[in-house]
Amino acid sequence: MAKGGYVGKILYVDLTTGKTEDIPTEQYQDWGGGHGIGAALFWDRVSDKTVDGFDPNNLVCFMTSPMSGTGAPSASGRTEITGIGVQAYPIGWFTRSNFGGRWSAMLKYAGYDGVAIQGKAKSPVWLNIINGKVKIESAQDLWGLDTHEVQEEIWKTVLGDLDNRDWFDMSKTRDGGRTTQKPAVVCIGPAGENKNRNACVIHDAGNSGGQGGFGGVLGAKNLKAISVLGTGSVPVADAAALIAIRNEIRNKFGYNVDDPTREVPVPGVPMYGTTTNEPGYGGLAWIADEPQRPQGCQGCFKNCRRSFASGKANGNSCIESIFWTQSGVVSEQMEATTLVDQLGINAYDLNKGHDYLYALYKQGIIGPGKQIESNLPWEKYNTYEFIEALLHAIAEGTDIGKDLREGITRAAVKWGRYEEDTKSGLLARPNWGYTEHYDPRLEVEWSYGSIFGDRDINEHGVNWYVHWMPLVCVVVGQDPPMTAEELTKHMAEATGVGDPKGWDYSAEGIYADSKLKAVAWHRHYSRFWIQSMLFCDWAWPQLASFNTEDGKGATPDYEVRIYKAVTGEDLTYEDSLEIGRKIWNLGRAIWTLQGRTRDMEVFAGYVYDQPTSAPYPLPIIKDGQWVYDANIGRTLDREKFEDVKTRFYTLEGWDPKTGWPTREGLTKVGLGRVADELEAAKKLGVGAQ
Amino acid sequence: MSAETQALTRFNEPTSEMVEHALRELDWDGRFVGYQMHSSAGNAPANLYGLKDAVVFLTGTRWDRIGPDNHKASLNWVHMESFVTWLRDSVGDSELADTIATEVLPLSSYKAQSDRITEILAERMAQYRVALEVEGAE
Repeated sequence: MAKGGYVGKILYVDLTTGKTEDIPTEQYQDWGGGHGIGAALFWDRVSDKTVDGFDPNNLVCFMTSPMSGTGAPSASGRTEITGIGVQAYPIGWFTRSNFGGRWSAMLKYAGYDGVAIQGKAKSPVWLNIINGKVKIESAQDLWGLDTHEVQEEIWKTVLGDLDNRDWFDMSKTRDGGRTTQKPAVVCIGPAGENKNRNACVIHDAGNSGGQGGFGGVLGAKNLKAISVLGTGSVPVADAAALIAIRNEIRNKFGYNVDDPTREVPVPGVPMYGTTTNEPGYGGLAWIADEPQRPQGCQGCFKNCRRSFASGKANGNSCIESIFWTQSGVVSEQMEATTLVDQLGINAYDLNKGHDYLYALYKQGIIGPGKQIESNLPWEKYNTYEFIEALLHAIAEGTDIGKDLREGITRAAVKWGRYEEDTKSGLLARPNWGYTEHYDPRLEVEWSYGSIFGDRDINEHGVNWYVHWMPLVCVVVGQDPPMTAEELTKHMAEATGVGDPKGWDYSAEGIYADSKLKAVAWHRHYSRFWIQSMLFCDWAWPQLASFNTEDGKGATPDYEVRIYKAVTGEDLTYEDSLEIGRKIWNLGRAIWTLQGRTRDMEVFAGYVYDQPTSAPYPLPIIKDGQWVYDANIGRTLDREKFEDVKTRFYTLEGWDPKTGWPTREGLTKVGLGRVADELEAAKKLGVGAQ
Repeated sequence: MSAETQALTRFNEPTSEMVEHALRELDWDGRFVGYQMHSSAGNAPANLYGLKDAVVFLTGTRWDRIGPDNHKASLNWVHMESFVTWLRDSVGDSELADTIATEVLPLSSYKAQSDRITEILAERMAQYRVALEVEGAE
């Protein structure tokens, strides 16, 4: 059993009865933390896995990991949310979301490894957790407030009129604990209260758990916020080793501000920070003309975000950032981003969505008196006035917002446009109704992982190396710091896949067995290290390094060293991937019970029918040589992808005819009891014949 | 525009009618499709419904604000040859199109092309502002 990392108990709250329970974390440590424990708790405590996301029986977990709050580099500050989501189309799969900041660390300092919420309160409530004491407080006066307002109100409620510079004494006793920290609050805004499917949760200024629609799920439970404040600590098995590893990683792989190994070769290319790892990334998301500083989640050594003097768009670095570029005025973009955070809307549903809506307007389909009636100021599309009106309409369910609060995909279905617009690519939603993130025809770990899973995977750990590094170098006219052959060799070694062809993105390579092994590795690695140990996907895995002479990155050695330092447990990298496989398979079993079948795992029509039209650098093998190619004119082949499905299912131990898990496959990862439940539901796969 | 300033530009002075025409919003069929690449948000086509949109897309700021300190946090890509054709045939500023064809297309990297096109657009938009007597213009 782990000597460190965990604080010992998970808080279970039944909002229907108002009762709470402490679940010993020890019962679930085999699942690691985060997603693994969240999925296991769901499996154990939700008897009907087909429950709707808005149903009170849906169990939503906010889970930390052993790393949270320990100072583990780029792994200390993230929180994983699990439960039945409401965003995916056509079925709201069991899914996940994740946000950064300081909430997970503070929850552990308050004595809990996670919070599991079930039921529905009779009236709006919020959870007040202080050093192991839990109160379910009335949120009647908070309902209707935006996400920033509600956090400020809760801070006042918990701390009173304390000056920000003063200590807060928990119990007024000598050893009662005191802190200068404000409570860490995760909350919903008006969009969540209205049960929008594109509602997110927000923590502090701009940490957003967007995908899955968990803001709407909490709204359905009448839960406005969870506030945590703690003065405890997290046991670390070997604190000295952890600090040594942290310094080693920063010195060896990080950006040395005094003597950088690699600098942006020409000014004005903020994306180059994805290669150099410079703090703040040189304006990765925002280049605002005002005082600013790098900012990061608790314990991060990369610090990809920024805080601005205006207080606008603070902490926005993930997918909700760079919102509303049509304005052409940075201050308006930052204002729009702040508003989307305050209303608690998942910006990613809209980031490319408003462009789709305007395309329909330009075609005479949306507007006053048109097929899709809307009286928003469409003629002012490029102004803040428009985006403000659109966001309020969505949050409040007025005008076209009464359809858009269901998410843009479901709105398109309701309008009868979904088939036509996803076939043409006008509505680029390749899988499960989620917005296209990276090209599904080319960067296939992303698309295969998404279609075989529950959502857009949103894992950048491979993407930085195979796509962004060569892209930025091509754009600035520089030779990449590593050849395609060198890069793929490093990736093959670091991942353990062993075959560099796993990262061949050629028209043949994306269907090859070696690619499928790389896809499987990606799912297993992510499920354990990213989503259960909560290493940030912007920093991990580190499959190569452009700051070291030998080009080797931190993966896989440093993950297991960090794990050992924090927990005291010896875990091999191979074993970690097996735990990831187990978590991935449990998810697959839940999706199967929810209605997943092989024939549902197809991409939107444009992925197969519309060729790519812009340069998209990726390593490929061309005429026997590794090169970075632009990959223009590519589509995914339907028949070949169907064959991919057959081989991938077999590789994962699933039934190639149905895609359902098999008893043999589940038993191999210790999930025999899951096989029993699938068999009882007549949904157990039979394996390759 | 002063004669001195006019002498610094290669462009002929546009009329207000010509500028209004070039800045009009185009219909759906007249749009130009660029491609936006952003690290967190991903990559996606971008519909540009006229020169105003194109200036925002390529420089990060509005046509009437463009200056030496423009920034954008995404890589916004256009197929330059097609863009030149669109400027000439759809937007209707053949002088701008010709200048970009002459000075931008030969540059080897997209960053160099992007920087040069920003300079050219800044120069042309300064004339546009004068022609429309926009506040802040000379």
